[in-house]
Formats: sequence, C-alpha cells, structure tokens
Amino acid sequence: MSFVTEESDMTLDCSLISNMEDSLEDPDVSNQSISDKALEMSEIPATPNLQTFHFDPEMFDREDESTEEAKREIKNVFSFLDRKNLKTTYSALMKELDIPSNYDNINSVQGINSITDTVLSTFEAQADKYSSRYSNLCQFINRSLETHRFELSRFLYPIFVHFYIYLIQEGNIQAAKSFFKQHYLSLDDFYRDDLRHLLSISQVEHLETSQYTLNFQREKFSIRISSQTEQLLMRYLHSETANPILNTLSNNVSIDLYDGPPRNVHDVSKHTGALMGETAPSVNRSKVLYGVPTDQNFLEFLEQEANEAEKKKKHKLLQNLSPHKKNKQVSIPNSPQPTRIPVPIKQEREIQSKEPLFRAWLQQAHLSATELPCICFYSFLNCYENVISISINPPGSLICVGFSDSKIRIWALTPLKLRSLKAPDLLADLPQTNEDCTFDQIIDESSTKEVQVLLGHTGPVFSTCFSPDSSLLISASEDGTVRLWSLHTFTQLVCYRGHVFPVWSVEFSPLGFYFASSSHDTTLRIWSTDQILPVRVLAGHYSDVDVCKFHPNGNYIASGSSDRTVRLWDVLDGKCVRIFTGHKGTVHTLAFSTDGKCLASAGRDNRVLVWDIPSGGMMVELKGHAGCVYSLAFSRDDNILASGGMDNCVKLWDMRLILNSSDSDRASYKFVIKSFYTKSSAINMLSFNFSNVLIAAGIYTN
Amino acid sequence: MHQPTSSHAPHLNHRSPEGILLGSQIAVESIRIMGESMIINNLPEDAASYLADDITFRLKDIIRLSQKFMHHSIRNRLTTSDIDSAMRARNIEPVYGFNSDDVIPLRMTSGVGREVFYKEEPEIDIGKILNSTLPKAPHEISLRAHWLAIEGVQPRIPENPVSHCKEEKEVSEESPSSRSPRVESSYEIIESPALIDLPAELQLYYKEISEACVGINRVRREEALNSLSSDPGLLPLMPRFSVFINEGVKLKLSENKVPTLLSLAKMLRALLDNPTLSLDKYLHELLPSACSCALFNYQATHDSPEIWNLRTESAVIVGRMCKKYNDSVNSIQSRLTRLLFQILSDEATSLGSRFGAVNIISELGPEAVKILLLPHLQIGGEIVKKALDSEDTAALIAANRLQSLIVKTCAPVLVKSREPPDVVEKFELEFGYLGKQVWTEVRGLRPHLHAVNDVNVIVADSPVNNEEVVGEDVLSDYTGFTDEMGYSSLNQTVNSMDT
Repeated sequence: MSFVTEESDMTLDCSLISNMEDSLEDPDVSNQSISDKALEMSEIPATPNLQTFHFDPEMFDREDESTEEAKREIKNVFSFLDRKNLKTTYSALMKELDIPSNYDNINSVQGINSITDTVLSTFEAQADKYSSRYSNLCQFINRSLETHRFELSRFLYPIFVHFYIYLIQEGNIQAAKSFFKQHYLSLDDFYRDDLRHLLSISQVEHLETSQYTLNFQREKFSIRISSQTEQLLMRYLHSETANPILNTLSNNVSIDLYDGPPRNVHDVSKHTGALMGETAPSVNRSKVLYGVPTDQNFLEFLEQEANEAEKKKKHKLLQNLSPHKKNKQVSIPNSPQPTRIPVPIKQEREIQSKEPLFRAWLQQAHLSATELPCICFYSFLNCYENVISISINPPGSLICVGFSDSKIRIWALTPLKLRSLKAPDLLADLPQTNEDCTFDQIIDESSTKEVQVLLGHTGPVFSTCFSPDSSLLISASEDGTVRLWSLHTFTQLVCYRGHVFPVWSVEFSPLGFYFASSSHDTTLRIWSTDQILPVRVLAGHYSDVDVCKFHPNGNYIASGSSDRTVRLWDVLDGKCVRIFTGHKGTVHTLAFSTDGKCLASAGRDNRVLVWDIPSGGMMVELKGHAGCVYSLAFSRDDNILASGGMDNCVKLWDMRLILNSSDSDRASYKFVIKSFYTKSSAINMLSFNFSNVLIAAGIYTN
Repeated sequence: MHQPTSSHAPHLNHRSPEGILLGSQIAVESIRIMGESMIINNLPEDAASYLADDITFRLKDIIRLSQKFMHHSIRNRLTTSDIDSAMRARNIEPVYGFNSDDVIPLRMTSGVGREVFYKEEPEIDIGKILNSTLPKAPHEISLRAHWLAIEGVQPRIPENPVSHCKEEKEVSEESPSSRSPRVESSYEIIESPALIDLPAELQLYYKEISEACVGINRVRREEALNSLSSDPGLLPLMPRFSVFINEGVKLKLSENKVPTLLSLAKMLRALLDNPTLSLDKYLHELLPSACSCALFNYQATHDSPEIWNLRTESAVIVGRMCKKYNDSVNSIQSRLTRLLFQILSDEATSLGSRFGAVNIISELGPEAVKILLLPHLQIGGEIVKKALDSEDTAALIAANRLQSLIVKTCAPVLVKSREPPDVVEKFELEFGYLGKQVWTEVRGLRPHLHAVNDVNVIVADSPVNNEEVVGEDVLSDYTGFTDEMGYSSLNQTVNSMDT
C-alpha cells in the first residue's frame, strides 16, 4: 500500500536532512520537512526534476504557524541555493512560480529578503486566484438575465472540479479545501456524492488513484448551450486577463452550441446530472433498427391454430385469432433482418417449449388506465437481508434467487416441480436416436424437488437470468465470474472469467445463445454460450456499469451506469448508438417496451425516465417514488409501465397517455394510475408474464 | 494497513457543522498514537499529517465503494461484508474477524476538550456460553405468494398493509393543479360502503358477531371483540354496527339494563381500537351513545359497581374519540366541553352523571381539568357534602366515589400548575368543601418527585397540541357563544337525559 512505502521514504528523509543541517550551519533550521528532503534530492540529477520539487508553503501555515516561519523557511531555501550555487534549480523554481528574475538577485541578504517576499506573495495570490475567479464567475452568472442564467450555471460544476484539481496539483491543499468550503454551495444537490469524494482528495497521488478525477482530467465535460449564451460567456471571459477559466474551458470542456433561444430551467435541469455532462443530440442521430420482428414460430403457431379452429368450426376462436394474424403479418418498419445477428438453428424442443407462451399470449388480458392488472407478489420469508437478486423465467414457472452467501436457489412455482435428468447409467439404456427418444423419457420423474441449490460462486450473487427456453441459467457475482448452469442437471456448465471486478448484472439475449454482463470494471461484455471468451467488449462508461438489458429484437443492448448515463449499443459492431443523460443518480434498472421503441430507466434518484429510442430524446420524467427504484416492467401491450423499489411500493404509470400526449402537455399531466404498497417488502423484481399478470417479488423484513 | 482496534480508535475531527458534506478527517494525533502502537515513535509532524490526509482519502474511498455494494444488495444498512467486498475490489486484504450481522455500537466519550469514539467490547464469560442451551436454529427460507392487487384493487388480506387511503390523499393534494384526462376509475366506489349489497358471508358474520357481543357466553364475547378490534375488512359493516350500537343504547337506557350497555360499550371500544377502521363518518351516532352511557342518570335502587364501570368505560371511549377525530369541521372538542360545562354547573345534576362528566374531563387531559373542573369544585363540594350528610346509603357511596375521583383528577394538575407552598386555608377558600382533601392529595404528591413525574407521563399521553386546542376552544366557547349551530345530537342527548 502506498502510504507504507511513504513511511520508509520518510526514515531516509530524516537522515538526509540531518546531513543537510550540518552543511547549512544554520541553527534556525529545525523543521525537518519533506520539501527540504526533496530539495536535497533535486541537487543530485543534473536537470532538476520539477515534479520532485514539491514546494508546499501550506505545509507551514497548516496548523496556525505564522507567516514569519514560512518566510524563514523560504529564506533558508534561497540561502541554501545561493551557498551551493544551484543556478539551474533556482531558475527552474522561478520558472515554475512564474516569477521573472535572474540569479544575481539573491547574491545579497537584501536580495534574498526581497525574493522571499515576492515568492510568498505569489503563493498567496495563486491560492486566491481560483477562488476570486470563481466568485466572479458566480456573480456574473447571478447578475445575468434569467434566460441565460440556468445554461450558464452548468459551467460551475466542471470549473469547480478543475480548480480544485489544479490547487491540489499545485500542492495547495489548504487553499483547495478552503476553496471547496467557500464555493460548494453554488453547485447542484445531486453532485453531493461526487463532491464528498472530491473533498477527500488531498494529495497529488490521490488524483491518479481516483477514477473520478482521472475522468475529469482525461475526458471533456460536455455542456449544451445556445449560441447566444456562449457569446455572453465569451465576452465576459475575454474581459478578464490570463483567465484560468478560459483555460479550463478550452482544455476540459466541450461546448455543444445550438441556435435558438436559451432553454429554461426545466429543460436544462431535465438533461443534466450525468458525470461528464449532457450529451449533444448530434451523438444520438444514428439510425437504430428498433422494430421487433414477429417470431416466425408464433406465426406458424397462429396458422396451425387457425386451421384447427376451421376444421372444428370454432368461430369464436377464429375471431380471437384474426386480429393477431392481421397484426403479425404486416412487416414491422425499422426492424432488422432476422439474420443480422447470427444465431444457431433452434432445436425442435426449444420451439415446442414456447407453445404455452403463445397460448398465454392469445389469452392476454387487455390493460389500460381503467383496466388494471392483477399483481401476484412473491415474498421471501426468513432470509434476513440475504437475498440480493431475484429473477423469473418467461412463462413464470421458475423463480431464481441469488444470495449474499454465494448460493443460488431455484424454486418451482408450478405443481410440476423441478425435475432433473436421469443418471448416466439409466440414460445409456435409452434409444440413441432423436426420433425414438422423447424428452420425457430422459427425465427422472422420481427426482422432483421444490427447491434446488446451486453452489459455485465465492461471493454475493448480484444477478441471475434464465435463458429464453428456461434450460439454462446465467449468474453474476462479486467474485468477478459469470457462471452458466444447466437447469436439466442443476450443475454448473461454464465459468466465464473476463471481468476482474464484481459483476453487477447479467442478461440473456431474447434470441438465446448470447448473453451480456456488466461490471465494476466499467465495461459491458457480450458472451456466447459456446465460447469462454467474450465476443464483444463494450467500453465507454466512465464508471461502473450497474445494469444491462437486451433490446427485444436482440440487436441492441442498453446499459445503465454509475456515471448517471444510459447507453444503447449495437451488438453487431459494438458501437454506442445512443447516450441518454438526465439521471441524477446511479441507474439500477432498465426496461424496453415490447414494441422496442421506448426504454425506461430508473435508479437512485427515485425517478423513472422514459426515452424515445428513434429520436434519442427524453419522453417523460416520472416522479413519485420515495426510494431507490430497483425494477421496471412494461406490460405486454405497452399500455402500462410498472415500477417498484425501496419504498415498498409498486406504481403503475399510464404509458398510453404518455405516448399520446404532446411534449408540452406532459409536464402538467399526472401519469401515475395507482400505487400498491406491500407490508414491509422492498420490490426487488417486476415482470409481466405473457397473460399480462404482473409478477412482483421481494424480501419480507420485519 | 494498520488495523484499527478499540484501544486507540481514531479521533474524528469534525471540521464544520455542515459535516454531512464537508466530512470529517482523521486527526494527526490519531496517526501518532497508531504509530506509537507499532513502535514508530517521534513520527514527524508533516509525515503524520500526510498520512492523516492519505488515510482519510483511502478510508472514504473504501466507504464510498462499500456503499455501492450495499445498494446492489438492495439494503439500506451498511454491513461489514460490504466493507470487505469493497476492500477486495481495491485489492486490499479484508480485515478478518470483524464480521457481524448486527449493528456495531460505536460509543463516544469526551474529556479534556476532545471526543473519542470506541467500540464496546464487553468481557464474555465463555463458560456461560458453553453451558447455555443452544439457540434455536433459524427458520428455513420460504417462499409465499399472495395477490397484491386483483384487477387494480388491493384485497384486504393479512399479507397486504392496512389501507393507504391517507397517503394517497396526500399525494393527490401535492399537485392539485395537475389535470388528468382520465375518468375516475370504478374502484373508488368502495369508499361509500352503504351502496354495496353485503355478501352473504359478511351478513352471517355480522349476525354472529352482534349476537356474540351482547350474549352471555363470555368466551364467545371475547372472541367477537377480538375480531372486531383486529379484522381488516369491516368497513362495509360499519353502518350496521353503528346503527346497532346506537339503537341498542337508546333501548337499553330506557330499560335501564346496565350489563347490556356495558357489552355495547366494549363493542364500541373494540371498533375504535381497530386500526383499519375510521369511525369519523359514524360519530353522529356513536359519540352521543357513548356520552349517554357515561352521563345517564341510572335508576339504581342499590349500589351496583357495573354502573360505575360503564361510566368509566364510556368516558374512556368519549375521550379517545375526541382525541382521534376532533378537527376544525366537526369541532367535537368544543361541543363536548360546552356539554360538560352545562352538566357541571347545573346543581340538579345527579352524583352519577357528575361522576361520568368528571371522568370524561380527566380523559380529555389536564387543560380540560384546569378549565372545566376546577371552577366547579365549589358546587361539586356542596353536593358531595349534602349527600354525605344524608341518610341514603346509595347517595353516600356515590358521593364517596365522586369525591375520590375529583380529588384524584385535580391533584396532579394542581401539583403541576401551582408552585408550593400549599396553604390549606387558601385551598379551602378556593375550592370549598373539597379543598382540604385536594390539599392533602397535592401535599402527598409534592415531596415524591418521581411520583409527580409518573403523573406527567400519563398526562403527556395526550398530544400537546391537543391540550392547547382544549384551552383555546374552551376560551372561545365562553367568551362568545358564536357556534350555536350544529351540535344537535349532543345537546339532544343531554336534554333527553335531563328531563
């Protein structure tokens, strides 16, 4: 660890300084500081290393030490330089401090005195430079017209962070902290967590350890303002000379200009909040094939049903089928080619397993604001906050739970129970060909169990997901691995090691075969079940990727992150096609609408945001939850959006109204239809099954 | 990394009052002490302060990361395992041996101008643990399903919470301007239960319960009352219960059947106790019934303790109803105080009714006692004295009861409101005949401070603002009789009783 090594340096430092003390013959030097040691070290190389010259005047006045002492220290330094005749070091020092001077100055005692004063005042001025500039900027913004004020205030946060980083880089810890305390109230509330982290940074070394400051130093913070506002700002900045703000803006901020009047406070605050600023709409221009093509198998199934109904003269059934048939046969606009993402040919059994789903689809309950769904709630009892993740398979027959003690348990929700394969010796007796041996024959009917436990992970299981045909299960854990389990043998099949850090989320592609995982290492990876290496690594988020979700057509994947953005990636080429900013906290859950047009996201900021994928804009902001939102689900007919979270409440939102209302109306409408509270269970999982019954699950805590 | 142990826990240095954001910093002093514990003496000042800054940064970084693990575990409580996970993610060996599922209490002690936080580590007698019986094994995790909603209506079953009508009301009040083009959905009809035909099973339930409540079988009665006080689905039956109680009280009062009245009072109390019911729509029937039970002038030929029980029980109900449902619209409190004032100031009021009135006053809280009861002590005293002097044994017993109740109610209030010394003459002058007894009781309460405190606790049971309301209402009542309308039912009851 870093500060243990510092300690060993420190012992070295003491001996060096005692040597130096002898040579200086100055009885006043008693303060053994790192800077002195650094000074001594700097003598050794021919060209002085400015990085090691860690001159820190704040060291002196840190604990109420007088300027007198600081003066004495500086004086000592200069007299030492004078005595040793270190011209290069001196000029390097002067250059770094930006003081024009030649070496001859310090040949006399007066010369040393005057240069000491200059240096000291320079330090004071530098420490104050940022603070006064920043207050001037604040004043300028406050005085400006209200139309410009909100756009201008977006600049405060990146400038604040960069000034703090500059002060730390200059070693002015005390000035940095006082700058922070003086100005942090000028910033928005939702930056609080980041600011808290920023304040804990007090060494140059920390800047390199912290992902947060590295992001700020390497990437540009993006701000979107109207060109009028930009002109106003530039006029102000150019009126000041040698402005560090201008510096910051040109180096660390990218400004996205647009024509037209500046936006109002509502519009501005709607899109801000992300770690690295608001996305320019130009980023979200690329075409997305958001359409969801109808399942070929479903069409075949419909055909079959229709034929049978005709044979048996069941007109009622025929009537039921016809709207589906009509809907499904029209080609869906904007849908990708079925072969765009290659998938292995489906097995007969896989197609068969879907039949009950299709049947459920036909009997689907119609939902609207006045016809609300039934909600079935599964509570887990006696689990003492051990349950972390809950997932359910598409037909709603299996529920899988990941525990903090690294176990995974699967419960059967139907009377069919959990059945595993027969033992190998029994399987050997069965006929070898496909035609002769049905699936039921290889299943051991005597082995039915209600619960199965899967052991393998060595850390809390943060996420699990069933494959579309419910034959496989994928799980992600704190131990950095993703594991694939068979639900026929209830054993582990593969362990995927790619993420080194905790994996937060996994999700199976709706096409099967592929799955995605997202991790603390800021990447999103796409894997296939037949390879142990990822087929795509999607990097771009500035912080942890907390959740991932496949688009219903399997061609895209959405990810939500701690950098408070939601991104949409193309699975085919791994490109990021949409960046949505507007969240003010970590994104914990995502959901696509069934038609693939909308994406809903929610998280720590207690609000649900609905995005329009074709246009790349925010559709609506839904407020009302009183705690972190952990799950979202669209009904199968896209009329209702359900959300639930830490506030023990399932809320139903009117999607029909959201889609049918215009942008200007949305601000005033109330979209929440109804809230259902549980007794004492946070909502961990929500999912609409094929008959439009909302399945919710949570842990009962008392 | 240096392992923090309890002997020298870090001295946290809160640098500013806005500690929430500005945070705390490990003090240089703590670093020194930690250094000394590792035999690094004379740690230079700047090295120590460098370390302090660095350790603060790293600690906060770990805590920030561990919060992330907490959030992903869907918890609101940070555990030691979150810290371990965070340290593993930062490639630091976790601190072993600090696993705990419980809250680790952090104690603070201060002295010599500084605060020290430490973890309490009590000595554990290992013999005791070995010899004690094994704790019960935790229950196996189980899964349970229930309907949170059926077509948008939350069924009233034990798995679901009691209705959140109030909260929804608040939510809708939040944005009164918001317009919704949606038609009001049908589920809201439930609000007016009288409109719904009662299902057969509820009708049966109503019959059984009402019979059991007034029946003679004690076990069945207890069961019925229990059901009334806890079942969540009784709202549709409320109109029937209300009528049942109201009519029952009227009838039984005229028949002077005290035991049945007591049963009805208990039934009312059980309904009042039910957290899922709101009686505010039935107060016009229930409150007069309860008042009548407490204040009625029963025709008792001999002393029966049941009457006194009934009066006390009903007074409790009246008091609770008043506290629970009083608001600016129904102004129960002011109407009630006016009624009680009339009763107390009327010299013709019987001892029993007076007893009931005093009982209700004592339920209403100390302010009511101060304003209603104390000014009437003179009259009360004379009536008591007259009864004590008479030959009638029933009157004698009643007078004794009234006297002890008055003294018991007044004394704590007087102890609280008046400063010693207590002069017996002054008390006699002010309160007449009862002055001496009150004085004795007050004196008895004075020296035992803790006894006074106990009384205070009882007094404090009623919410403070409620007490203030009593005072205000009463004042407005007696300065100007403005609110003449609207207390028909109460006054009618009283009038019918007095005549």
